[in-house]
Amino acid sequence: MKLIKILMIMVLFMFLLGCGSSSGQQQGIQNFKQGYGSLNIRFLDNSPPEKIYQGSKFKMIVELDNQAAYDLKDGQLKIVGVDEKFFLMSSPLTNDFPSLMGKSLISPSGEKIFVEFDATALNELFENAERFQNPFFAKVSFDSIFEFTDTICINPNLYEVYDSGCKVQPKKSYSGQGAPVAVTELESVIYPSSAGTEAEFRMMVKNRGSGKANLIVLEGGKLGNQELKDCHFQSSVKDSEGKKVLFYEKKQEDLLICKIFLRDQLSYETTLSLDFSYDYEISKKHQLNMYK
Amino acid sequence: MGITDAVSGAVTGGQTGPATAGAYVAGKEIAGAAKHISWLLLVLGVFHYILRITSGASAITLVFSLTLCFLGVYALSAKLEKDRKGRMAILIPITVFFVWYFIFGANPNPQFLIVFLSILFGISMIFGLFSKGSSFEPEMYGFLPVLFFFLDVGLIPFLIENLNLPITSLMQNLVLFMPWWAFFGLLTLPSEASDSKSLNFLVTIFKVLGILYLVFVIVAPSLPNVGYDDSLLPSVGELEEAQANFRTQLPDLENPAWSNLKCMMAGRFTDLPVCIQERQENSQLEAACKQKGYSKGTLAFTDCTKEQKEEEAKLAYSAGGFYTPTVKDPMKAEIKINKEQLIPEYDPTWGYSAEISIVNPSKQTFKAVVLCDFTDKKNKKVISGEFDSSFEFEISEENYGETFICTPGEELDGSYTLNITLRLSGLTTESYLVRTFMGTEKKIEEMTNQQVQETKAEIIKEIKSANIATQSFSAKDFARINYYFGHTKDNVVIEDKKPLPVLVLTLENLGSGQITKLENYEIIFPPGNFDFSDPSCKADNIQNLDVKKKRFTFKQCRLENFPYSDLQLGDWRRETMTAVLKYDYQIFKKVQIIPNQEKISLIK
Repeated sequence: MKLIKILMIMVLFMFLLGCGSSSGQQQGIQNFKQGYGSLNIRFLDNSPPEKIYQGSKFKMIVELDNQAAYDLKDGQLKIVGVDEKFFLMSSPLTNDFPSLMGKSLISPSGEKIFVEFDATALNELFENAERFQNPFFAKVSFDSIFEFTDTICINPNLYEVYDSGCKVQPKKSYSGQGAPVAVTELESVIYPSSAGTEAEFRMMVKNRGSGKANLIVLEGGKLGNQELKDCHFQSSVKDSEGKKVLFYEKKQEDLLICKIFLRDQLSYETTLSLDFSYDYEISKKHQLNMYK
Repeated sequence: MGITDAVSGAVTGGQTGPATAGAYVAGKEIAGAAKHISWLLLVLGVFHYILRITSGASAITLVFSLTLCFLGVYALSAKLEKDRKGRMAILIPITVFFVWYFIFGANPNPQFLIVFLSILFGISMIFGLFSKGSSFEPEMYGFLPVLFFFLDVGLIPFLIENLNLPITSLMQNLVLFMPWWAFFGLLTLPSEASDSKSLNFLVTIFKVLGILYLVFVIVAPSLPNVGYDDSLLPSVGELEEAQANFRTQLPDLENPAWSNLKCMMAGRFTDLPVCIQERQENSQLEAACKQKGYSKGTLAFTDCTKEQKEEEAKLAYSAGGFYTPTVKDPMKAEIKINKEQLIPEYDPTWGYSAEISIVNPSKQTFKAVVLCDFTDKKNKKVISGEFDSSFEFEISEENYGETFICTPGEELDGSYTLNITLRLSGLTTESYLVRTFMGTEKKIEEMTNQQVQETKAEIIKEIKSANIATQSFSAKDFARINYYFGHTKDNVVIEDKKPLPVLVLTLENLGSGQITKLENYEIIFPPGNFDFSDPSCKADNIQNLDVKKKRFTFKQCRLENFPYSDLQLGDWRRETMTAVLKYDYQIFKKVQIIPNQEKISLIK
């Protein structure tokens, strides 16, 4: 009896182990394009050192870790605010990185690079001073994209109460598309017009990251196979046909309105997809402490 | 229940029966004790404040403050509506804090803190267990006297000095005119502090005003985060030094509350703020004239205040400065006349000894000359003195100390003033100014003017977070150049816009002696195109300047071109400018001597 029990426990244990192995497959189908993953900036420990002594050489190593689900392009890392009376920077203060891969099946944890800056603490201090503190910033700017895709229910037949098709959700919320800038809300409005039935999609595009988004461009959009041609941002910039919006300090969001004529008569489920590009800036404050 | 209400709650609680009658009596006794100790604290607090104002920070004021702190603990514990054990719990935080601060030197080591705080937690729990949780409230109150102790020894000036916070005139008054321990005594007074209803009402009013004041002092200056190197808390010495420095830098103003009262008594209700401002300014002028030795009410005093007012008007355009926060040792020169040798039977032919000490922390090389003479008080005849050793020497060491014996060239007969002068020539003082240069060229064409302005505002916010001082600063030397460079006096951000920034140079005598000669100065700018309307603004010989004034502006000019035209909007750079001043300085000491008359008095 005891033996049977032990065997049963062993079988159960093996079964549990077997279940555990399926998590690898689970990872394979993981959707990276969710959340507000962004570029993380971090100074490596002791780079720069907590205490820098006069006349000593040191390194500043910045880790750039792309936690977004999209590649970053035309990146630039700048060191701003270092007082060159006290610190001689041997490396240029600006460092370009052409691209940084986002999270994907090939690289599930995103690409990470380390940018080094060589510097020397000069033999300078304020007269009789014991130390000098220099707060400075590592500022990164880059271009990237994000995609919004969702399956929505369209019901062109406004007066058909007993339509047995899908159920329309007039308002939906989203928790990001794997980038700091994302579509956070979608409102679908269907109304009759002179040419038939028209659908209007009102999407809130927001910057939910810790940095600052600048120019957001709607690169294209589709409803099923139909191209969304009539789209415009509410605060679009001039001469951009409504496709570009410039976010600024106090306003890191805007409403995108897309309109389309509906061909079908019955309710149906289809895919709404939109492609955006944007440029972004993130800043990280740090401090150099020079001692006698 | 607030601490103010704790006693009144015990006294006025509507209880009946013998047991409650006992509680009533006990409560009344506690209230009585609290009342007396609070009144004592209030009176001693005022006395302590006067002592601190008049004599400055010393070991006596520190010990006095500590004593008042423990008195404050007693007043607070007597005021709490708790049993004896509960009230004793108030001592836990203060004892633990002082042990940590004074015995362990405010050790910030995390491992140490874990152990130390665990012990505190353990003690707190034991008390909590025995008092059935009633000790936690008094334990929290126990931190109040600690806070007041730090406020009293100079926490706010320390923060201002070390974080380079901009000091408004309101803030100056808040810091200068606050007798913290008297205020603590006032706060701990019960609501029925005396039998007089009007006095009780007055006490309540002052309590409310005091609390509003406290809230303002703590909340108004939003202090940015600063990384500390050694310990999270400064030492008492640092705090007291900060307070003393702060007081010396601030003008000697009339207490604004007093100004307010006087203006109200004068019936100037319609222009009360103007009246207060006038009184404050006048008090500053009068204080300056008193310091010069004029007596109030004399014609000379009136003339002095007029002149002072004109000077002040000129100074409005002058640049201010402060001491570099991390400089510990000031440059010092001192003459000590050895009084012990001046016995009544002293023979002037033996000579008068003077001890010269110089602290030269930056190890500058300069020349020093010691001179002495004797001025006859009656006929003003000057008899030159001679030294036993060379009176001219060069200093390059950090600490110099030597005794010189001055012998009169002629026989002394009568009453004389012995003048000892120490002349230092070839001194150099550097002062620094940090400014940031911001780009204005748009990176993105589509930006509207509003977006440009907001981007600029964001960059300015970022720059401000870098804690850049608005004024120039220097080591604690004898003199320096204060200067500002910018679109306005306190603006640390320079951008490519018209009108371009101005450079204003002010000379300030920081010591108690005199600037005897100005050689030259030079402003060292970072690499870049720094051209000014007057090229002599960058460097000049300044031998012809009147050096008697304590502070005066001697140069003003405007920048011709923005030096970093390649900077784009959103970009900025930090630059430090250095002003090098070369000058001669002298200090002197005068002593009245009456040889063979058994008298000597120190004039200065």
